[in-house]
Amino acid sequence: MAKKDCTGKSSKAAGGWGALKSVGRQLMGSGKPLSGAKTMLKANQPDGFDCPGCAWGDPEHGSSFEFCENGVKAVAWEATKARVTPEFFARHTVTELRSWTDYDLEHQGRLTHPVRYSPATDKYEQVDWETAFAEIGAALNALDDPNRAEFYTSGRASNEAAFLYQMFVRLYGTNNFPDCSNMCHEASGVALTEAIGIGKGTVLLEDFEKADAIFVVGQNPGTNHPRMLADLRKATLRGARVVVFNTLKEKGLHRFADPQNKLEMIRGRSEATSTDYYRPRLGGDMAIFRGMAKIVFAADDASLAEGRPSVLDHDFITEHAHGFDAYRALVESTSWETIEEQSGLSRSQIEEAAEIYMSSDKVITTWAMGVTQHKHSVQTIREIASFMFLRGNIGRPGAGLCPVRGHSNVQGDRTVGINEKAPASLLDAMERELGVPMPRDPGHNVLHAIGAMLNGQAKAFIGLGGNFARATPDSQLIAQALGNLDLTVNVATKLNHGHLLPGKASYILPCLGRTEIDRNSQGARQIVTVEDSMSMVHGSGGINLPASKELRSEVGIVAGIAKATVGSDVVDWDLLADDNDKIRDLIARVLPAFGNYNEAVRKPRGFHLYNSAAARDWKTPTGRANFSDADLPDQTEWQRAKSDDQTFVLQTFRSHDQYNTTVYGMDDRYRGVYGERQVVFMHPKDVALLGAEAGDRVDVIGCHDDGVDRVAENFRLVPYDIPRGCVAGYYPELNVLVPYQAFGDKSFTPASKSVMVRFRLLEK
Amino acid sequence: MEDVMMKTVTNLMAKSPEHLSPIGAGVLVAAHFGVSSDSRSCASKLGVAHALVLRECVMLAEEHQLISLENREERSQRLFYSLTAQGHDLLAKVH
Repeated sequence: MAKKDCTGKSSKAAGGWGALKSVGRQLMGSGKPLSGAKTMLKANQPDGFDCPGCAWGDPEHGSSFEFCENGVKAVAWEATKARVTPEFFARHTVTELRSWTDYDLEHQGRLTHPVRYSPATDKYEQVDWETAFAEIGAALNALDDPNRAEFYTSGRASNEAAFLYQMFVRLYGTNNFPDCSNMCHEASGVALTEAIGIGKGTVLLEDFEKADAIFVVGQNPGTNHPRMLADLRKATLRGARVVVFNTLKEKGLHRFADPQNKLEMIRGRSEATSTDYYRPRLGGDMAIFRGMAKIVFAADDASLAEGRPSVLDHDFITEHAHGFDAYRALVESTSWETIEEQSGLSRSQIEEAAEIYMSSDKVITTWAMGVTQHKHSVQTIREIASFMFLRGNIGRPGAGLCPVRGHSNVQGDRTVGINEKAPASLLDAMERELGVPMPRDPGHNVLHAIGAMLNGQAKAFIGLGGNFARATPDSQLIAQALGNLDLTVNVATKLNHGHLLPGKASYILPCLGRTEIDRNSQGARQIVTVEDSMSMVHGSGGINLPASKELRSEVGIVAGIAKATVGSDVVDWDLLADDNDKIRDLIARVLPAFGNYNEAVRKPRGFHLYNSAAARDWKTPTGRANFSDADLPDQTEWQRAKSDDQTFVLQTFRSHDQYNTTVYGMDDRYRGVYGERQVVFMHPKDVALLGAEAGDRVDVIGCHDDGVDRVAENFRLVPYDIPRGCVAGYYPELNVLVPYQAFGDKSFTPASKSVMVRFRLLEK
Repeated sequence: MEDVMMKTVTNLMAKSPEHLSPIGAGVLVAAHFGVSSDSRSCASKLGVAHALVLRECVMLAEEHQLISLENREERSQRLFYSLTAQGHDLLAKVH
């Protein structure tokens, strides 16, 4: 490929014809809906379908997947006709498959049969389900300590599968629950629990229709939660301010053409998704909010001095908050010099944004990985919450906090017990329900699990979905560690690299996808349930026939392993595996917030789980909403890097053709990159500073000082509109540079948005 | 036209031995009257989510053999279908 071949014209706006081409032909006919039939059919809709794409709320029961480019990609990805059969495995050794890319592996299609690794042939070979379950159970029971097993959960797992899984694992005797939440929004959970007593956002989708201002921080919804763009677009159209803080210029956060609007599509028009766009340095968000708080306090002083009403919501602060005076003192003692240096924004820019906040009665703040994957992420989210408390922007219509989750049920999995430090209330309830003690010692999160694998403490890995080997930091080290285990088991729909690092005994157990119809032994269709970012719980039934008759549901597979490992004395696994309604009844007994679960989830849109903070019911030790007491970091990584003009701060992110570790295609059309993923986005002046030109090849070298060489080889430089000293590139290719010892304070979330790197130019 | 279709849907649901769902009946009737023969346009005309019509199409084809799936658009998942002889016979009985 020629030097600059990978870059091209980027899309004008998010969505639009480009989206339409990906989504398929838009309905352009003139036929109006049949109103009578429509009414009748809506009233009699069967189980809905939850898009497996992302966790943004859905205004309609059913699914809007067909109007979301990435939703269709997720559905089509499962519906492929390609198959990975036992014959496929007979043709390829695991060693050979390891040389393939994840893209190539996953595009071989759907796994059709359970398989077991044979060290003699270096191949996976077909095994029957009961033999697999029995051998896995025997291997788990052979461990001298249940804490030597790690039980990973992907955010794809349904509430039913996740609940069953945590019940099995705790009966087995451990709380080792590394899960994908540990790698994304753990910082949100920790910070919000400290601040408002619940680790979830407080808003509903309807609140976005009422907000006067929406602050969007460290988030790229155009790629990661495309349906959010429609809500931002509606907000700007009705006059709300949408204020973006994002290091990069992201297309979706400028304009969005709605694929459902035929006139707009024909005319090539699009509408704004933001009104104000600020581009801070990596790791600078806490300083921005500290600066805005400083402006709010100064404005309040001025207002009071002039005899005007206070800018602050004193009723909220007095009745509901704790630690206000200390927070104010902290804010006022923070210098503008530090704020401007860390944020990369000028004082006047921060004043502009603060003015929008003060002139808005109802404000929502949303955020995602750009906030959560830094060392000081918990402090940043506490700062955001504190800023919102100043004017009582929580627990009232049109206002609140909204961490936007990625995978479609990552929030639900945590709700139903996938938690290495589960609250005592959950464990108590499990003990009451099952009549046996639950393990109480905290278990392993992802980073602890990695540490246990590396030091030889861990002996077994069970993965309920996901691609652990690629998703985790220090992916090269993890690959070695997985290969040293006694047992690895992966429940999966498609082949990925995580499956190609077999331990002494390894199994791949193929499961139904969310899009596939699941029937029990009586032939009755089953639904699963998921919880979105707004705490709405939806039902979802499959829409396609299973890719293979041999597939089992995740529930069935978990129950099979559980039965073979812990027996059926305490739990009748066969009974539960055959009827998801019975699992939901069990969940509702353990977690009363689910109420009449089976009935509620079959109503249009499902139901909303009680959110204490949204009701201004503060489940914190102080009984109030807690202001932050954290200072800004002494130095951000950007400040550390700037002392040396050869060192940069790297953030990893997704391309537009990818979802987590799944790469649907090789293009990133919103950023104008085509056909290549080994790229690094860098400011043009920084490219020149390196003595390089656009398209030159470099090795990216990690700077973490622990004696481990971390090098991502042969990446192409792409000049991009990004703050100087900051660079960006794709996950998971650059995970090799993320040291697993670099993580967020209290959250243990990998600091994937602030990785110190250098570059080595390769010969042209 | 709409009244006729609604009446046919109602008759079909009442007389069908296969326990058709309302959406499934709507798909058959829409195909019978030439209103739509693909899942996406059918969903639009019926005013329901595409996913729900996709599911019904799969059931009608694979379980009841009342429609035949002819093609699937990879990018949109839209299914194109036609009534089978069995489907025509069923509709003839209720219309």
